[in-house]
Amino acid sequence: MRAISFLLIFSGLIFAFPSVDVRWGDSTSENINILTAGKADWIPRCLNSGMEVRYRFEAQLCRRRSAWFDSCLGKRVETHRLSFDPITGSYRLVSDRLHDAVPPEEKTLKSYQEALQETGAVRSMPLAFLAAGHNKYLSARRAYVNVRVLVDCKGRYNETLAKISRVITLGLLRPNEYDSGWESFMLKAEK
Amino acid sequence: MVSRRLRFLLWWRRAGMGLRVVIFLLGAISLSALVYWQRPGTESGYSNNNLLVFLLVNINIILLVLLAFLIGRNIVKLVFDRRRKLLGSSLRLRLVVAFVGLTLIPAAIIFFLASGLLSQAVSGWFNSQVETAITGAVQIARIHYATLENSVKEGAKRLVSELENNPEIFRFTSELKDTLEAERLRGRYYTVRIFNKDRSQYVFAANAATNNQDFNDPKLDNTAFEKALSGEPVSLLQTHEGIQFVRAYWPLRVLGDIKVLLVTTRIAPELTRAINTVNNSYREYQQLKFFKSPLRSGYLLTLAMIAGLIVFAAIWFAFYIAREISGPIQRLAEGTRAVARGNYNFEIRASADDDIGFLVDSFNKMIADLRKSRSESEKRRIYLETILSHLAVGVISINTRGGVTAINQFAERLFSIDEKDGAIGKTLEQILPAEVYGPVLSLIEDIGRDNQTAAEVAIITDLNGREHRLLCSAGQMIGSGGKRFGTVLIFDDITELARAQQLAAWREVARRIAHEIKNPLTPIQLSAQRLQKLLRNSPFSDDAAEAAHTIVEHVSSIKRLANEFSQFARMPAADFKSSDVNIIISDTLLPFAESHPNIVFQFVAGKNLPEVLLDREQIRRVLINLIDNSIMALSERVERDTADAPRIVIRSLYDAEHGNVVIEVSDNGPGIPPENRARVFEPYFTTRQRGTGLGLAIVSSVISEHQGEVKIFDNTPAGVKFVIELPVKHKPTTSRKIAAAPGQLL
Repeated sequence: MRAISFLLIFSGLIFAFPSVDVRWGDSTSENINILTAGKADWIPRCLNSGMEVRYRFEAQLCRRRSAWFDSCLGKRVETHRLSFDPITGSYRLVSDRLHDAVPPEEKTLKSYQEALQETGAVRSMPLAFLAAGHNKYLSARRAYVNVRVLVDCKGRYNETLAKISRVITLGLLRPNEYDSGWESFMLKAEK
Repeated sequence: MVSRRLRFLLWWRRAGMGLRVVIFLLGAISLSALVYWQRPGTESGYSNNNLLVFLLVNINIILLVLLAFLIGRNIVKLVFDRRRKLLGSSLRLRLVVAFVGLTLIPAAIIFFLASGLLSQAVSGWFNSQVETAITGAVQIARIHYATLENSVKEGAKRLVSELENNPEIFRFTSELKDTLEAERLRGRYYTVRIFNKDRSQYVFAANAATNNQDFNDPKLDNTAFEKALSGEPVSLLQTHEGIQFVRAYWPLRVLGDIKVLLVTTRIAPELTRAINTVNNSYREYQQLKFFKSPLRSGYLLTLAMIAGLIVFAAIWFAFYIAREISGPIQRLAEGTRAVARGNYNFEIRASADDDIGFLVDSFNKMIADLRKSRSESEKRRIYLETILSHLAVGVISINTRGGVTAINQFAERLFSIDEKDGAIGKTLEQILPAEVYGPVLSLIEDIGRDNQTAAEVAIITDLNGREHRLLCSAGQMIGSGGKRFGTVLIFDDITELARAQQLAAWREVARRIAHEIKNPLTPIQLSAQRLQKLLRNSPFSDDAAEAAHTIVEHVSSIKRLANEFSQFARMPAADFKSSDVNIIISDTLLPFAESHPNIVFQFVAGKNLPEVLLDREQIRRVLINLIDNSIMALSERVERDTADAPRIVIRSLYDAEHGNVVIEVSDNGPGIPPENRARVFEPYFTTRQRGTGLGLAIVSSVISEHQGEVKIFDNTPAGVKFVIELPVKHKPTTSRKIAAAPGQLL
């Protein structure tokens, strides 16, 4: 039975491809919200099995160039780590927005729904933060934000299994990791 | 493209084992690295994998696949070799079976034992006692946490009720603080705090330890605070500096305002650590339980992979060893077959410096000796063949059964044996004319019967339309054991020699006759003329004059004859110059045409005739003699009043195949009877009353000196045709005149 659950989790990871959605975070168009959408049935199974669900949101500001590759600034990363505490029955969320010296923010959430709301989105990522001083990117006519999300189920043993599975699949398949791929969000509507 | 592929395959075959392994590993590592770095999302330590493990496992996989391919290929090859009954395949099969057996059986035993132990060990992780203990510990921790949570919730609820019922206390901060402190002490809380809506602290009661910064309670939980402000009580566990705090956020409505009461109790650090340990253990146990089957399968798979790798490696090694051992043996067998087929250039590459290598070296040495010996014998054979081919005698060797074993070019030419058909293997009867075969057979029988080593016989036969005089010598070929293994026959064509001797003798006779005859002729002639003068006035003057005239006339005739004899005897040596035969013919023919209008002279000049090395005067003389001969024959024919007009046709042509310029002189006279043809070239043989018999003898002599041949044929429809063959290039002088030193080619 456990083996079947395991297969379900990993087959879910292999075959489920939730998309990533980007919206404006405010009316002034200075912030964006990054949201994940799609089924993620494997997440509660992952949490209940004592593992940690990790979200990694990546965003970068880019501008299109004529007859050449697009120019992109460095990536900005926000991570969430969600785990279930079997003693309190609550969910613990550790969020690190900047990956700098400031310690990550920890939260305790009573229900799974609350946890999902907190983890499945990056609310209000300022474009100025993405630009990091390169304001010409913000004013560029064909500027856009590249966004992607990586989700995986992190545990001590499934890492071992992941290695074994990579052995079997020649390293071409990563069954415990979900990658949305890069999604582009145009900052100005193209005519 | 094909050649490039072939070159690569040859290079791969020649490459050493070490080099192949290095190339193979480098390829595997490159492929693994390529696959690894092509994966997205590997930066920033996220999904960080152990690169080394990754590379190693991928190398294993690639090795496994390649080994499987190599082994499959070798097995198929072995099966096909075995079916074709290729030498060495049986030995290879045995070696492979032995190696595989020796590896597969222990590997299988180890694998099954290890997999059993692994399954037992994995099952051991999940025995009921461990599960009960962990679950029990979690249950205790849950109860403890629930107790603490209930405590803070009850305290917060009670305090809120008390404060909401006595809102006036908020006018006196010190009393409010005392109330909070009293509740804190009563409930043994760490802190009790009241916050305004704007999150500013209104009043609090706290443990004295909170004065120390290290013992501060955690910051506000925003979500819980918002909920409390909205009227929803919240209790939760907060962690700060590794210490756990149980907190209750409670809405507090006083004096028309809403505040938040926060009651906090601190879990002792030792207890926190214990709870964390229990928590972690439980989570790990859950994970382990979840991954029990996959883990076991994974470990078994890994074990199977390693076992498979060992087995495959052993099989491949078995093939390698088998090939190393059987390869040279197979090549040795191929070598012996090649040598048996006569290929002495076969050489086996020494594979190693061991027993097999020694065997291979010995074989190569043996082949080299054989090659050297064969080369020497071949040289000797070529040397002998060259001598035989340049000999001016025909040599035929036969075995004891009468079959021809060797024949030289001269003999082939002499007996008109076609090179394509060849004479080897045929009997003497098949290749020799009957008039030659009979005497030769008798000669062979004679030397066999009389136990002679050699004997000879002279044979006169007609070959190629000419009479030939052959001197046949036969010698027995006796081997080292004294056993006769054949006979060698030497045919010396002495026709020309005999003719030359005859000619020389005739010339000597002619010279002497001319000398002896010419001496008394002048006194006879003078005496006759004197007698005529003395008897001029006598009654017998008329008779005397007639007699003297007859004497003088006959003396003149004898003198002319003697002069011709003398001329024949003093024939000068030929002066060879490159000349055009057509010009000589036309120059020669013109005076005849003018002086004999009753005869039709026709000259058919061949085109593109090469120039021939000849003595112009002598050839002109030959032509004059032949034309004279034809005119004489035609005059006899005229006398007989035959119907056709007398005609002499001279034709020149080039026989490129034999390198000869051919001159044909034909007439439509009465011809030469066959019985006379053999003798017409002899000096003083003539059928005419007034002929000297020297014309055709001179023709034969001149043409012989020019290394050519003159033949007689019947002309069609009547008459005779003389055919002169003049070689464009003169052949080297034969051995008859040059004595070759031993070991030198003529």
